[in-house]
Amino acid sequence: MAREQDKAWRTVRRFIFFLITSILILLFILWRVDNQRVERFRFALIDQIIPNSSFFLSPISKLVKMVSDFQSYSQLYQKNQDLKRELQKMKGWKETALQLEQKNTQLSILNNVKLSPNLSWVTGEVLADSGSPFSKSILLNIGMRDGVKDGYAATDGFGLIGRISGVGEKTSRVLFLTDVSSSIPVVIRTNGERGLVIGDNTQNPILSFIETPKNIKAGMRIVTSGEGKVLPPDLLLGNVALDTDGTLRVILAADFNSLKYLRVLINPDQEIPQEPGKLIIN
Amino acid sequence: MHLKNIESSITQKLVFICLSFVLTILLMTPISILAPNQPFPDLLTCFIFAFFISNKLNVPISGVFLVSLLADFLWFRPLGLFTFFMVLGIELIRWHLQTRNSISFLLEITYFSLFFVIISLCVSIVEFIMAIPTAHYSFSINFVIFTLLTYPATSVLVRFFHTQKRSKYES
Repeated sequence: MAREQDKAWRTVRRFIFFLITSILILLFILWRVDNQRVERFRFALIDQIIPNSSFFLSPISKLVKMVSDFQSYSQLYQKNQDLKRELQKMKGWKETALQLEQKNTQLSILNNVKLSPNLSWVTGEVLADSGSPFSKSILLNIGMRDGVKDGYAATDGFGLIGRISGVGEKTSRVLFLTDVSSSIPVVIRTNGERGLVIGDNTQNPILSFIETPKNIKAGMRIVTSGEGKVLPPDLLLGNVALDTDGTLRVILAADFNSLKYLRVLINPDQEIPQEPGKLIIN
Repeated sequence: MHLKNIESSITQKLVFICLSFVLTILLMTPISILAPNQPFPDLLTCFIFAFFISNKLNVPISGVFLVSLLADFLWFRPLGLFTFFMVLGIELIRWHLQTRNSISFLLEITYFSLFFVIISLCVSIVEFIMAIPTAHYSFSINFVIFTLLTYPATSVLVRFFHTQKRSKYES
């Protein structure tokens, strides 16, 4: 009797095992074939889980913040000295900026430049770090209901952080410039060379596809070129740097270490990819 | 007595699923957004494996499936890929250890090392074949090494938890 029961139980277990593995294989194939629909389902699930789990996340974030605040107190004197030095430098830069602003206004008037009145933004709070070891992205608490769409640029006030790659009703995912599946068309401010900034999961993405790399020098400013009409042009990415092995990299202007709020640029004029799943590779 | 055992088994299964769920969410806490130079270890896999080794009967395949699939969804992993190899690996080890009630700590670490290295390799191969972008191989190797280094600590914690539970039930 016991042996028969055991045999029956083993059969049930085997059946469950085959059922689960079949479901997983089918799910993976479905994800590869019909990425768009599956990603939409993923976002519907995230919409339900993450905003309702903030009571889990916020105590830990606060605890970590307290520890880092405490650590920063111990370096207060050094920081004060650094800030004084920075302030001195900034005073010089302020003067330069004021002069440049005047010059820019004059030139804009001369050229009859009209800035897009449609460009606006919406600010979102960082909800969760959705990046796995192989994917660098975050979730924001703004989504379709706030007018966010796939492909919109996300900045932190200093520079470009990434672009929206997947939108739910209440949440949206920002794919970082540093992510391995991120490629942004850029232009070097100084000489107009065009290229691509490609993420490789390090803090400094690679600057690639430059026509004449020997013309590129460390420190040159990089901005978005606006090619492909997904990201608006002239958004600051950072400066060129040269790696020890000679690879051109980008020192990003955005401060990735203190991201709490992000600004998503809403530009109705820009071309939104009709198949958002195509933006999401993994 | 039998009823008490069933009650304990259900509690253990619930504890496994709840703790895994909490861990999945906690690992998403936006502590440091900065792209790290070194990857963060896969604590969820460590936890699932450690819980499974110390209590094989109360870690059902359906539980592993649910927890790992949820992580696939929330962590933007390729859906079903890691979970598939995870379920396969866990069942293979369950079959291999079916006659043994407990194994030594050293053997457990050896099993986990083999399990995780093979899973990571299989996932990387499938991702390569299916042209899914992945991180640089040095990053993947570091990820495996950090996870392997984290496992002993996770295992000790889970063993401690089980010892406490057992002594509570026995008393």
